[in-house]
Amino acid sequence: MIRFLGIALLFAASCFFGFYKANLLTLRQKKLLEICFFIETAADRIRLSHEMGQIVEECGKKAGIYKEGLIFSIAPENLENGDITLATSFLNGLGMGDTQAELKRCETYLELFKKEYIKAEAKTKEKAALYRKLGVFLGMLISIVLI
Amino acid sequence: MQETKTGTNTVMYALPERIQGLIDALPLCVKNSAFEIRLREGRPLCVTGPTSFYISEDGLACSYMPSHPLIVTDSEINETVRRITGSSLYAREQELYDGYLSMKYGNRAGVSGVFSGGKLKRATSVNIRIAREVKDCAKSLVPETENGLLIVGPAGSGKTTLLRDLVRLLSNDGNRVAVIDTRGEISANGLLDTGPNTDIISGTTKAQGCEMALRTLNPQYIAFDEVGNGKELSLISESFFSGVKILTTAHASNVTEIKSRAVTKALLDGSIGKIAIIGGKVGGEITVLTPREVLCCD
Repeated sequence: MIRFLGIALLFAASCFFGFYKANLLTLRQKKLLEICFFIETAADRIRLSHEMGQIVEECGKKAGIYKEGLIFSIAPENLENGDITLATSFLNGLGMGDTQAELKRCETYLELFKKEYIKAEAKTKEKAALYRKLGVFLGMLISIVLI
Repeated sequence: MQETKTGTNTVMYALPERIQGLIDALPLCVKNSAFEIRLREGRPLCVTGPTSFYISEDGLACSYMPSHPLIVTDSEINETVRRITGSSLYAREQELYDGYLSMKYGNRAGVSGVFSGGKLKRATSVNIRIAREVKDCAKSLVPETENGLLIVGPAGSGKTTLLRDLVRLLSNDGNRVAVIDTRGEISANGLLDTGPNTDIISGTTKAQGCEMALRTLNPQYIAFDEVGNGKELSLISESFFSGVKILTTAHASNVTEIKSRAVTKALLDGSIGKIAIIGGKVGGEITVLTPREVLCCD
């Protein structure tokens, strides 16, 4: 009985790991999309001369962008190191140029994040199902070996 | 007279932490009488009130240059600009082009530095001017507003404070007053008391605001700070002949300067009823003259 319970737990853990890895890819893709939305909204509101603090407060939450003192930061969850570096360089000194410079900055980073999003989307398509299947098959394999 | 806003506290949010700490630790008499905090890149921090004080590294306020003055760094200047603008320089382009930044609570910061193509490239000094609200300081001027009033005085003499109180007193007396508050200094977006019958127009030029007020608000008085260009002068004449009285201010220290400056000189043609001259610095004696008296004065 205990043996079967252990095998079932191992199987569940293996499946969970596979689904977890697949989910990470989807979450990264979603977060990159939210960052793209934020940049687009920020550009619109910069045109209307809204203050950056207000923009971040009202629109940055979903993308994990927040203001801490004078600095704008991004929560690193679900992002890869390259994404964080890109986001940090976007947020560093944000709002301290004139309107044209800020719009140009938004345009440039929107392009870069869109590219990252497209890559992430392809990666999710390619690997999410693979991780799920791998998790299940690995679980089954362990179960068979142990039985 | 009752002073209600003594505000270095109202500008603290704009200062870098190191400077905040030192200003906060200054004696109350220095803090309460301060009307300017001057930050210049590579120069000592200076707090100006009736007396100017340099702040030393250990936080002492000295009326002479201390041996170890607190030197303001370029990053502190940038941080100050960043704090004032809420990290949104682009949203204040026009203000910066005009050389100032509106702050919370009716305060104002003058910004100087390197401009290129009408845009600030590098700020090198910031002069934070603290708004004061001194209730009833303009009581003696109320009867002089019958045909409009021009308040003149040197920089920092309290022209805006007088104008704000005059607006409040007239409004309290039931007069309809329209205030063209271009820089938010008079009403501080409603934070300072301007009376119950006052309409505030902000975010426009003075000329646009005057036109809007004349067309739509049916004011008895139009008030604005620092009369500047020819269009504003022509609006003053127009208002005068349409029965609206103008209350405004201008920089000039004495009668000779009033007669010499193009802006004030143009107002001596009779389009403004009286001229109140503030003598010396804050709280100085106020002399009220008619344009004719100014012209005859030597």
